Parts: sequence; C-alpha cells; structure tokens
Amino acid sequence: MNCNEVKKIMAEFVQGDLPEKESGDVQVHIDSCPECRYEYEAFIKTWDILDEWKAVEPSPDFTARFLTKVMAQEKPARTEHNSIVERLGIIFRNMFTFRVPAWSAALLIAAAIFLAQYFNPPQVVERVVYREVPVVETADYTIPSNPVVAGGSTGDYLPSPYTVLKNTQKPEATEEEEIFEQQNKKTDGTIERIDLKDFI
Amino acid sequence: MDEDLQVIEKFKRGDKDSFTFLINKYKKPVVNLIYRFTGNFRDSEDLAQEVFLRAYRGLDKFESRSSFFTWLYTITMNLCLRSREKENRVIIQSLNQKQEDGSLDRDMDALSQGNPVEESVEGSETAQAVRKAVMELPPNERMAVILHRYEDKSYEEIAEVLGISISAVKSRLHRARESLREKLEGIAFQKGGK
Repeated sequence: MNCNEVKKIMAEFVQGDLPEKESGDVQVHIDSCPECRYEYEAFIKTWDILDEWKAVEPSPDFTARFLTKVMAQEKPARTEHNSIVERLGIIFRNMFTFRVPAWSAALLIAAAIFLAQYFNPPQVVERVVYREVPVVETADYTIPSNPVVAGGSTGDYLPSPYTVLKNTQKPEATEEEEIFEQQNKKTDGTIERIDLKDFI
Repeated sequence: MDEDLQVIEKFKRGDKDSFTFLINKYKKPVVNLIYRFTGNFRDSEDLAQEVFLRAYRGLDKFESRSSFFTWLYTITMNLCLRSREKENRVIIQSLNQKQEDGSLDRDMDALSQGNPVEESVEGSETAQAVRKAVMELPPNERMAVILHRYEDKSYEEIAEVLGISISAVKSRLHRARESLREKLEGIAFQKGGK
C-alpha cells in the first residue's frame, strides 16, 4: 500500500471503519512512513481537540420555565377569536399585515357588493292602473276585476283606497241594449231595474 | 423495561408531572445539541424549550418503536434546521435593508472581529477555533459530528435520528474528519506538541 492509497482511506482507518485486513495494511504503512504517520496523528489530534468546545449548562430555571409555559397553555381557555365578527376582524387586519394582493381585495369588495345586491335589491316602484270596466246600466256601482299592473300583468292585491271603484262613464250601448231600453223605458225616462234572479 | 418508557407509560395514563423527569434528564444534551448546531448560546435555550413543548404535546402518540432520545433528537434536529432556514431569511432581509442605510459595512467589521457575547461563552482561543471549524461544516456533516463526537451516539442511533443509512453516516463523518483536520491541524499540533 502506498502513501496516496493510505491517505485516501485515512479517515476510515482512524474511525475504525476499515475491514481488518485493510486496516492492518494501513497500520504497517504508517509504522514505516513518517509522512503518513504525521497525517494519522493530525486526524487523531484534531478529533481530540474538539473537546475544547465545552458543553454549556442549561439555566437553573429551565424546567420551571417550561412548566410555567405548559400550565399557561393548558388552561381551558377558549380560543381568543370565536365570534364571526372577531374572525372577520382578523381577516381584515391580516389583509393589511400580510399585504394581500390588490386583486384579492378587489375580489372581496366585489363579493360584498354582490351580496348586498342579492339580499337587498333596489325597490322597483310599480304604477298601478285600473282598466275601466263596462258597467251594466242598471247597476249603481261595480267592482272592477283585478287591477292591472303596468306592463300588463294582473295583480291580486288591491290597495285599500281602490277597493271599490265606481265607474260613472257610460259606455256606448249595443244594438240589443238600445232595443231593450226602448222596450223597458218608463214614462219618467228611467229604465226599469232588472233583478238578476229573474234570469236564473 | 427502559426507564424512559416507564415514565412515558405513566404520562400516557395521565400523570403529566412525570414529564419533569424527562426534561431533567435530557435538557442538557438537547440544549448543547442546539448550541453546537446553531453556534448561538442565547437562542439555544429558547429552542430547547420549544423542543420539549413539542415532545410534551406529542408524547401521547409516541409508539416506543424507537427510543425516546432518538425521537427527541429528531424533533431537535428538525427544529434546528427550520430555525436555520428562518435565520437565513432574516439575515437576507436584514442585509437588504442595511445595504440601503449603509450600516452593512459596520456590521461586517463587527463580525470579522468576532462576537463578544459568544467569546465569553467559548473561553479559550482553541475553543473558538474549534467552534468556527465545526460551524463551517455543512449542516448534515455537522449534525453527524455533534451526535457522534459530543453526544457519543453510535452509527445506528445517528442513522435513525437523521433518517439515513449507516454507510451514509460513516461517509459524512469521514468527510467531516477530513475538513476538521485541514482547519484545525495547526492549532492541534500547537496545543498538543508534535
């Protein structure tokens, strides 16, 4: 075994990791080679000198400090932030603390606007008009059919001031109606009242 | 049955005070493991407290397949590595900031002259040289050296803590030995005589 071969495996040799045969060969070389012997001693001495870096002692209150910490953490304390408001507050604070990107903030604001629209939509004022209903000449008043909501649909709800509508405008009489009027006209010009039950 | 395992069984049955035994037994090796890995005496106790806190919280799930110290050292090593990453980030941020205000040069001067707080802990010049040489090892080699040389752990135990093969442990130690010989050879012969 020559010097180069020995130097390559010197660390294994000093650490005792070489097989017995190889280790014996290195030992024989070291005994006869001053240069390799110096190398060997350097490995031993530098390993020994590591003892100069002394261990430190933990501070006397190390255990007490640990126990205090454990006791403080083991208290059955609720987590500090339980309510939704508190959690939202934390998220809001974190936005500024951790510099949430601008697009995240924009997204949050857009979501808030959408939710506000969804739960509280703007009120549409509907104009209610009432279709004039033809009046049977003999009746004093009539109740209109359901009011017509602007746009054409018929509403079911009739506001109180318009519960009963009186239509005073007389529609044009049909031919049959004119014959009927002439047949039933009284001398004083009024028309005879017709009871519906006569027709049933 | 192993003494540690007996204590852990008591802990699992509800005797939380038994954990004190484990702290008192392992606080010194854990503090020193951290101290030697980070090179920072001031932070090593805080980090060690965090190690024990994690062990305390996770002890109910500990399954005795490995020894307690292996488990505890694994927690320690993971925390050390995480703390190092965090520290690196802080240093980079700090350097960026200091480049702007011009205080970087003053800090570099202070670093080259050594940290007076750490010096008071280290003691001798030889000790400082050793500390510097160990701290300059790559983290995976450094941890292997600390466990083997300072904590007197076997290859098998180191392999378990680091989650690597025994042959990987050996080769890390070989490389570390070679680096340490290069860096400390002069001072070693000065101190011990030729």
